[in-house]
Amino acid sequence: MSARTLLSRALVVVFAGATLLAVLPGCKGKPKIYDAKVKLNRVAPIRFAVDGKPVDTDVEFDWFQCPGSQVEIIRGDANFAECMKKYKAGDEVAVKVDYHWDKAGHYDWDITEMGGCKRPPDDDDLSSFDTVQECEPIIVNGVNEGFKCNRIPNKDLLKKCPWFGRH
Amino acid sequence: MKSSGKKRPRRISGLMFLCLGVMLLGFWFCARKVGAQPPPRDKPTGGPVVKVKIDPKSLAKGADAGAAALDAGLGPVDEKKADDKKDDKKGKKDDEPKDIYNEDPVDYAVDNADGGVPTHPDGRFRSPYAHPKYGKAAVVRVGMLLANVREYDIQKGTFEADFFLTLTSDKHLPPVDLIFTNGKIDNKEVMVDKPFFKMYRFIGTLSSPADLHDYPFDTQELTIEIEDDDNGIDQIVLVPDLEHTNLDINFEVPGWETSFTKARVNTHNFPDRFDNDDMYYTRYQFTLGLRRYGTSAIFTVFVPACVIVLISMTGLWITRDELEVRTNSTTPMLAAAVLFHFALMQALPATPYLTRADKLMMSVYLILGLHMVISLMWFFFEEKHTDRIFTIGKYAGVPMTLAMLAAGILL
Repeated sequence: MSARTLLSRALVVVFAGATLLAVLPGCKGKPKIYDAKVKLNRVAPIRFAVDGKPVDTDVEFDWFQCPGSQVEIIRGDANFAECMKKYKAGDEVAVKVDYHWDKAGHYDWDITEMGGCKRPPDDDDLSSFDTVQECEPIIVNGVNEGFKCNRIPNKDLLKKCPWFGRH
Repeated sequence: MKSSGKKRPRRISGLMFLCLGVMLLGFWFCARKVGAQPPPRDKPTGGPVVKVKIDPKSLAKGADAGAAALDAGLGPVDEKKADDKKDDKKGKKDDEPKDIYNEDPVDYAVDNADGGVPTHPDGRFRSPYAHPKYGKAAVVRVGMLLANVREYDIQKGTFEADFFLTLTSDKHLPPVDLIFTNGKIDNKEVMVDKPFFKMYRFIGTLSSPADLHDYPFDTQELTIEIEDDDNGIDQIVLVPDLEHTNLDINFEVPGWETSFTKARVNTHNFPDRFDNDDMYYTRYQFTLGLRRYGTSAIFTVFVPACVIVLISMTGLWITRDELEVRTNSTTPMLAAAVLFHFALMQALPATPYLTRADKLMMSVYLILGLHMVISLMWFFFEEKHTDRIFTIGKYAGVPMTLAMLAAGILL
């Protein structure tokens, strides 16, 4: 086998490897639906129609079954607002979590159902947000000087609540 | 011709007078213009007239004196305004009835018999800035909402932060003068100023030196350091408020992943500035941890370096007959590696240590050197060893290349 042939084969291997490296991150897992329970902190209708019925509502809740301090606020439409009237702060309700690849370039999750109330996610929703963090005190010379809250979920959290994994 | 020749001198002298007249008129206008110019701003206090004008007694005499003062230019008026401002600053304190919450502790510090720095005989601290009359220190919870971080420059370590700061106290607070020890505030808005609660919005430019040991897998800490300039720990003890320390909705720094937030207080004192300078101060530190996206790091640093090495490694399969082709697979890669390394370093500040990217590039240089040495071995040994050198180069060179590359990536 001539040197040129060898070289061309080797180059093919190199570029195939590079292409593979480039393509691999593009492989995404399939969407998953998870069932979980959350504790409501607040159910607050935001805007009202002329007849006084809420047209949307905010629900703030804790992922109390997940390690750390995970707080989320979701906004839902009029049907969701009407349905969520039966719940109050402190109630524990079941949720369905849709875990999927987001167009922003990472995995994300949406609450599609809460306490039996359907909540169709809206891509243009700017009001829903989450704070996923695990805080620990900063102890210096035995004195508590403050706290540090990690925003990148650790293994324990992802094991128990895998939808918090964004990558 | 004769008659015209006689008249010419008269015309010339007429024109000359006309020109002279125009010139004089021009000078006169110029002189008037120059005379009407206000005196330069940095000079007015020098003249005796100005000194008279800024005398408050002469100002008080009547409107004429006031008008004269205005005529004298902006200098004296500015001076008066500056004095007024100073008076305003002091005045607020002076006008208010003195109580333990607004009294300047230096005012009631006791002069020592042998002179020197006045001290407070009572209380825990001798410093004139101590305030023993204030009693137990106020415990102040510090809340922080970081709304935005813009223009993060890793070379300078500077960034612009936009944030809300709240101070919630269990006791009536003394006047608070917040300073930012690692930057400057461009915009300060006092939103609430109550005895027990204060809320501010700040926009400022701050700086935190970058730690690039792990570059390109680095996490940078952007710190906001706040200290009360006036009150020591005998008056104010700052405590980070976990519940009210947050990032705004959809907070994001382009190119970076939010890794952590940290809030802590540090109680410190200054090296002695004067005798009995024993006061401690609490400094609040909020830190935002930003991690470079891993995928970005791999594709911008590691993939190009690996490609350079792999292309050079292909040369190990080329025999001596094609020596030119073989060297061409290595030497240009060395140039590519140097340029790539240079481009990487351009984006970073100079560091006294090697970053991970530097270590990777060191391994790349060593690998390329190894490949060149293997090729050059043909020139050092007799021709009968050609095949053996080729075989050794191929079977020893490849594992060594991969091992060195792995070391560069992992170490």
